Amino acid sequence: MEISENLKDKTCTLALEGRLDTTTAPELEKKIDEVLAKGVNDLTLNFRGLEYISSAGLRVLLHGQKELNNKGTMVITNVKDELMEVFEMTGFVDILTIK
Amino acid sequence: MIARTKKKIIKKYEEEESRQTQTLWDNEVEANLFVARILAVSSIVALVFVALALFGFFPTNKNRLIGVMLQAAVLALIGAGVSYYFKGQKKWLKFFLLLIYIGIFTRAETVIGHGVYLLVIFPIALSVRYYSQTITIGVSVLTLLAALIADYLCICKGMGIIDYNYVKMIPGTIVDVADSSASTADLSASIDIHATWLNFLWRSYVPRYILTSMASIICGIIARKGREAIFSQQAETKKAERISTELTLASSIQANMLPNIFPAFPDRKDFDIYATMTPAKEVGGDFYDFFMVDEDHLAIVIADVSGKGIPAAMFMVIAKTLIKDHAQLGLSPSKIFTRVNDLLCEGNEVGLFVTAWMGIIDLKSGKMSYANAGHNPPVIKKNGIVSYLHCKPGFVLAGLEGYQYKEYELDLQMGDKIFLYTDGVTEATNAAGELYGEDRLMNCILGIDPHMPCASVLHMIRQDVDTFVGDSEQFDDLTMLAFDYSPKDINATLERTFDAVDDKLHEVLAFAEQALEEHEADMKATMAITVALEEMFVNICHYAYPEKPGKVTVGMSFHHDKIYIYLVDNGIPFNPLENDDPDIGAKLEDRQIGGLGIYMVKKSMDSCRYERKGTQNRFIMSRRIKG
Repeated sequence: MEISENLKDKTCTLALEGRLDTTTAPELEKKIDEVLAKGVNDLTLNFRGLEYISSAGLRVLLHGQKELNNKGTMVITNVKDELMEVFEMTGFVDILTIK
Repeated sequence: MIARTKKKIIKKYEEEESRQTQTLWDNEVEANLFVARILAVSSIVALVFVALALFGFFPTNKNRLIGVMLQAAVLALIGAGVSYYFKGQKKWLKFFLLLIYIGIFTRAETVIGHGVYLLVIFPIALSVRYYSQTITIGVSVLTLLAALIADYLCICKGMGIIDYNYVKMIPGTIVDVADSSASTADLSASIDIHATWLNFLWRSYVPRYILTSMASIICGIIARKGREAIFSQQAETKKAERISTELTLASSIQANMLPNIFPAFPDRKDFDIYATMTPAKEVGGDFYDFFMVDEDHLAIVIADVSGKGIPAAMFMVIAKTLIKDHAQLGLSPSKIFTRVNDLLCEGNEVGLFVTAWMGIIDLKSGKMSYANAGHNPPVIKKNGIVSYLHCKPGFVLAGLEGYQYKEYELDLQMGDKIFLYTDGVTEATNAAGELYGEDRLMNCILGIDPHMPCASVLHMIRQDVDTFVGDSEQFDDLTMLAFDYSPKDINATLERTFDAVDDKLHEVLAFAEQALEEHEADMKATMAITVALEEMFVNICHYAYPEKPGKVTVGMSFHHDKIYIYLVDNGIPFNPLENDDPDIGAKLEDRQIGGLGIYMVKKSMDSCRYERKGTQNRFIMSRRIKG
């Protein structure tokens, strides 16, 4: 998985490419913790290039959402249909902000 | 006249000889050995007499008696020896043996006529054993002639000991009656030989000859009856052989009516089927049948006609043909049974009936419709669980005109199996009178490896039944059919073993993705299936091997538009399906991390199953690969 970061003040966009699975999820988690530590309170996760997500990935998203809750916002964009189904199936659509 | 009689006898004998058959010859050889045995025993008896004579047991002249008995013993031994030497297999042996007996009798009669006359019956009675009236009559005539000559020699030539009762004494002779060993030669001075001979003849010998003749006639008749019995037995055997040949033919016609070339559908890889029938008699009333109704529909039938043998087999042929004909019209099992029942009821005066079970399986969807006409419930193995496929059975076929059969349905999944059988299996009986029964059948099927091909499954069940029955006779036809709704060629399953560590995840997923691509799975399905595989693989890595990593085998097989994935590991018992589902409606703050993966597997796959087999955890899941 490739993560490209676009950080500007307290706004950050992380564009993900590839697969978000058990082995790659820790990478994203580390990255999110890193930008949050820099005081980012407006996080956008661009899923345009993301093909795959498993429960490990969901775990990380849940972690990020919990961290930013009441402090800022986390938005997920450009979610593919296949991934959208995963969000729907697991009830994540109700927790995450997907645009 | 004698010459003519002789000619007649010879002619009759030749006639008998011309009807000589193997059976009669076998009998003659047996008879030769039998007579030889009697001769051997006779020689021993003669020697016993010698011994008794030596001790003065008999009041007669010791030396003469011993002489006669020794000669008899030697003659008998020669006869027995020759017969044994040729193993009884010479045409002339019978004459030789009977003549020896006549010789023994004549010699004894000459010396102690009134004491040994009973010996006359030996050659005559033994001749009966050859089942030839001419031989018996011939031997009787010869024996009587020999008796006459011996008696003449005994009295008129003074060669033997005589009975004083018949001796004509010259008046004034004084005789010591205690000495019973005197011969006419010893008494020649004091008897009237001519009058004595006549006296013996009329008062003693002629009555004996007449009685002997009567016995001879009886023996002759017995011999003839014996021969007749052999002939009629031969005729019976021939008849029985003919019937047996016809039955064997009928049996082979019947066997060839049933599909019996396996593999039955070599070009179909999506299922396996096998069936056997073992009739109790040459032909039976059981049958099985299976055939493709069209490209996607397979019909399977099992039936048992009441009664046994030819009538049941004929009824079976009609029933089988009618069922198949109606199935090929595209009717459903219940409709087929309803119509076939009506046709069978017409003109069923014998009152035979058929119990039958029929299923038609849509091989694409796995949907099976079936109907039961009073037959035993099939055994079904579904999701690894073995049970009887009970439904309220309809009435037997050919029993009640106008009867409407009900239709039932069942969804088959890949790996499901159906086992059809007749009551010959469940009612197989052992020596103690116990029935094999449904429980034993169920246990037997439970113990069979699920990957075993149908042919081996039937073989295993057969073996189990045979072991149970032991040496008892098979009473009923034994018919079985096994259907396996899974790819025949289990080696076509893709299988690979990985180290159960997270780092291997990408290899596992690549393995699955490649196979999915080859089978043209769509994006959505690929995603769902690979995610499920990841969740299961990671679960095994963390929970089945909590301490040190082990191995996990991942297998996949494709069946129509479905994929079946199994994961097998040797870790600690771990059933992922036991955990509670997470609350997906919970608020963010309450959302838990755990259980989400398994929840996704359950949600996105069509079926999931866990089983613990020995030291193995096995997880099997399936899903459509399109949509």
